[in-house]
Amino acid sequence: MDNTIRKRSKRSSHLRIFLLFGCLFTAILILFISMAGRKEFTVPHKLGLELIGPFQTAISKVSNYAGSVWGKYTALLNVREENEQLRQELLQYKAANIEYREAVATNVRLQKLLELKESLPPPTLSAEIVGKDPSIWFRTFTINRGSSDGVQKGMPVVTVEGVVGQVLTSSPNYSKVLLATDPNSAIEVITQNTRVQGIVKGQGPEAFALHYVLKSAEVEKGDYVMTSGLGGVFPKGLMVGTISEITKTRRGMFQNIEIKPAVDFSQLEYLIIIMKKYSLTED
Amino acid sequence: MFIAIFLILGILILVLQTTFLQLLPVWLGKPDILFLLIVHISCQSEIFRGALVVLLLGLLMDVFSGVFLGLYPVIYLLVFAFIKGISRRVAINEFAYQVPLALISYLFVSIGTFLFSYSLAPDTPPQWLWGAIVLQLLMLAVIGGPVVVLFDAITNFYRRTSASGRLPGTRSVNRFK
Repeated sequence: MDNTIRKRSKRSSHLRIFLLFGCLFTAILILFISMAGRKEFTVPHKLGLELIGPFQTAISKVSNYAGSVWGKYTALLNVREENEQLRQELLQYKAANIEYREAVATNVRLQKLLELKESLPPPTLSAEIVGKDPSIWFRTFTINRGSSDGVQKGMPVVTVEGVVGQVLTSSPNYSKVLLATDPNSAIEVITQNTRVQGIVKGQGPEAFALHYVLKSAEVEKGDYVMTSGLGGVFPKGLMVGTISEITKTRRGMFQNIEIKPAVDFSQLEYLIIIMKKYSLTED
Repeated sequence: MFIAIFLILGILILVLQTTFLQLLPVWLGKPDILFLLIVHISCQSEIFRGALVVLLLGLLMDVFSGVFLGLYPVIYLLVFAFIKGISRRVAINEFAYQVPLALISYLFVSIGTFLFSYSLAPDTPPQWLWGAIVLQLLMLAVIGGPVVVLFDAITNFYRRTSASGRLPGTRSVNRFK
């Protein structure tokens, strides 16, 4: 009897479970069928979205950041290569630009030298400085023209700006030029405005002194000093410099006159040797 | 071999001084490296070979510098004799003494050049340029150390490669015994 009752109750519980699952399944089925074909989110959709959305946002941010960093890194690698390439190109252009500027500058210098050469009594010879005196006591240059080119001792050496010096000694292919700034150099000169004559001697690295000008003679600061042609070495009318300082001491017969050279001796590259000792006024 | 090495070295320095070093700005001065070589040769070499090299370098210097021929050989030989004279009494051959010795010698050379030039051309006396001399002394003091190290290295190289093992005529390590 008891067994029969137990069996019945067991069946009834199984039936309830089946009914429950059946109802649930039916409800879900109804839900899916009701959702099919709709475009708007339903509550479960929204719920799922709200739950997953924050995680999605966080992961997305992290991945975006990582992607951005990676992108920048790869871009940096490319930029580095590009930068290197551009630097190389810039260097090439700079070198080309320097060559171009140098060529233009050389062209201008040589053109001026040519103009001067044409204005001087022929024959003249252009020369390039190949070495400078290393001593602090003397001022000489070595040039790439020698006795095989007809260069002889005493020949005047000039440039576009004015007098440079004279040939001291020469070998077959090279010569030594004594600069006008050397104390051993002496050039007969005349002032352009007041026509006062004197002798210019080297005084220090970049200065001349005008000697033997009497105190009674009128000289002006800023007056140009030219070669007088009297010494027989330099032709007349070559620019020597400008009077920069005049002092008259109580003692002595002469004035102390300083001259600023017309030539910048530190910038010299090309020179002209006047082969004949003619005056510019002759011929 | 010794003469050839130091003559070639001297020529290289001379070429450097007359060309590349001339590009240095005026305010910086132009170091007289050849003079350091002269001092080094005077300190380290045997008397006859050293004197010959110094004489030849002086003659070469005459070609590229100055107005009076013979000035540099005389001046350099006087420096050589001065240093040799001192080295007989004082241990100046050591590296540490060479730079101060070069500075003192340079001052004497400046005085000598001035006096010689003045006596050779009294009408056109040279200017005594304190600024340039002090600048040159400073330059020599600054570059002296490394340059002397280089010269020492060359001398040691020569000594190692030469058959005798050391420069002929140079003293032994214990010079005070």
